Amino acid sequence: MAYVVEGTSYMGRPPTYNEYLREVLPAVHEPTGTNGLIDIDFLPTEMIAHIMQYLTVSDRKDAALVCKKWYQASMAPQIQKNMVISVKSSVTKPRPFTALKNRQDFHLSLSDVDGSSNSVELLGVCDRSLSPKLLTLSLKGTRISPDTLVSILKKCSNLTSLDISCCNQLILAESLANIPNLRLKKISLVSCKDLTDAGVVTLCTSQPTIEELDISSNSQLTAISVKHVANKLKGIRSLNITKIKLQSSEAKILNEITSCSKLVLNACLLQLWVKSEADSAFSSWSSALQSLDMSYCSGLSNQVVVSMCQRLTNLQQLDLSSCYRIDDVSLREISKCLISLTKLSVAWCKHITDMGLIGVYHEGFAHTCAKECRCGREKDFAYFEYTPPVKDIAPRVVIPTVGDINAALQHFGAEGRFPLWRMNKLRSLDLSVCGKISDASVIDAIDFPELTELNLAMCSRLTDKSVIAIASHNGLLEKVNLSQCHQITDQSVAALLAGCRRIVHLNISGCPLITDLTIDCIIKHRIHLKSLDVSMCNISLEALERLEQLSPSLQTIHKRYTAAASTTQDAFLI
Amino acid sequence: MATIAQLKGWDSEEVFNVDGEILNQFSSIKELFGNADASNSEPLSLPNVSAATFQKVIEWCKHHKDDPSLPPLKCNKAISEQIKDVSDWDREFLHVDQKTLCELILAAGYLGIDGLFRLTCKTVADMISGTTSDENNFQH
Repeated sequence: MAYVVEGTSYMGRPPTYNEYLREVLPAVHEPTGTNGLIDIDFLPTEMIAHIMQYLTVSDRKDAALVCKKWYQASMAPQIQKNMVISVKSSVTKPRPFTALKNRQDFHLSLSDVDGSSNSVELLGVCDRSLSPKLLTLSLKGTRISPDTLVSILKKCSNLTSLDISCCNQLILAESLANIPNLRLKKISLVSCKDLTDAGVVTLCTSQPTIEELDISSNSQLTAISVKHVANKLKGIRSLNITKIKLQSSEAKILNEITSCSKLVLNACLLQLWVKSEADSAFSSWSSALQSLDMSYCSGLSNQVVVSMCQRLTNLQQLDLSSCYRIDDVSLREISKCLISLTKLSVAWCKHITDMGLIGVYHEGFAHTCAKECRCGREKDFAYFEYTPPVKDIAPRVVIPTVGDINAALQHFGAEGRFPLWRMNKLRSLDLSVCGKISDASVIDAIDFPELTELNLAMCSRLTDKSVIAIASHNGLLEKVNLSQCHQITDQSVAALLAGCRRIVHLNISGCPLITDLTIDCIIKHRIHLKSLDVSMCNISLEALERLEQLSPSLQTIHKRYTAAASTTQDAFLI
Repeated sequence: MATIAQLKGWDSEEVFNVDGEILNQFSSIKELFGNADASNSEPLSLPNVSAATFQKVIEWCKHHKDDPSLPPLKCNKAISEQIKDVSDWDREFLHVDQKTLCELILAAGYLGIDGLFRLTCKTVADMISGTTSDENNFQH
């Protein structure tokens, strides 16, 4: 017998049900009923439902099959509320699908709907018996005719969320206007080819209760749409208008969106503001805004970021990646004003230097050389049909030397500077491709008690000193990317693994000085990695095999062009 | 501490004298005994709790009377993740048959003893988890 009955011999866990039947029960009690089991039918359904909340989803599924009462318990609303039923119309038959009508309020996601008879039948079932019970309907990427959709939606009296992204055959906004009972709170219209400004206007008029709107990747839409969203949807909390291009003169309509807490303006603002516009930009944005994504807004200048930071004091997430015009001035202002940030990304902001990280800015130190240069990143913006006028090009930033930094530190003292570590709630920091930063600032600036995610990819000036300092200051790191930091060695990775025991994702690809010692270190410290990228490192295949054997938690490992793999066929298989 | 409430189970006449420290843990019925002097009034009968179970409940409450109040459960996280660290004493305490365990759940839910309720529910959930539906004839 595997377990001893008395005492705490279950190795610190309660006995499972089978052990309970076999061992505990006979020992504790004389058998009373048949089979020695006690009838506990008197426990009410609500209690069973409550107990089921403690189970994992897979256990709950099994438990629901035990008997009718347990099944009813598993259907309780508090258990089912976050359940999304995902149906692939190419594999699901109509019969089991019809059985869904026994459920109350649920979320349904239908995919693969095409012209086949099975799909048509499923939609028919949806129309006839499921519609009134739906809370969410997702028909992402399906080929559904406007008539069918309207017919379904007419019966959906409880629907609050609708996702019809990538449905190309729909001219839907017009049809939505004719449905009397529909009061949507959330609608997703990503990449709908036929969506026009007029459609968005109709939608805003007919569904004024919308709180979350996603009209991203519709590059045919213009500022008119945004204007109507701002005017009509007064209760909107989340708005995504990725790729809707706004001229600098039109940017002021964003001022009218006052109720949002989450705003995604990815690649919206490509034109540089003139000075007067920059001063008034976002002047009425309230402190309600918590999450702001302005990545690829190449028109964003330091001036705008500075004025923005001073207003949005409650911001928690800020993404300014690929805003190539911003530099140390912006970073200093972010550290100064937005101290409650939990997530910050300034990836690809190549002008950021050590001065920004230590939080000083002075005309005399950084921008000494005002020569015009072509920034490599600008080429990428050809995609957005944007050519920057020659005048606007940011001045070349001189890389400050250690002497400059020390002079700056002395000049500004402790009070005059606003280093990065002021944001002590930061959980995620992305400084990738900020190639000008170096040990001089990183050692001091990256010091956050709660940081879990750090990306320093392609910061090639960083050396072991930085990584060792990061390891000793940020003990809670879980995800670290040091890809293509050429100068780091086994020594610093060992320090990182010893200092941050929670690391689960580690990317050290393209670091040629990394050898087998690192792999041994992972094994020695028993780090429970889930993913590891050691592509283009100097690591032998034997070491990796050893690691794979000894780390059951490892789910993905990238090992292209490692020293040994390049000579074997494995390199091509992975 | 002085007795401030007299309670009895539904199945016997045995009267339990409960003092303030323990009564405070019965969040759903403690208001009933606000300021009244219970020593000379009729003992209150608890409709859902048997005498034997109530004895166990009081035993648990006595042992846990100095526990800090529990943080509310967050709904976006798996509940079983949030309740860890069952003490040895608790494990020994819950080393009982199913009937008693279920009566304890009912009693804890009825009396509003949050700590005991979570603990017992988790115990039953742990028994259910890891078995298939065929093995899992918990109540048949």
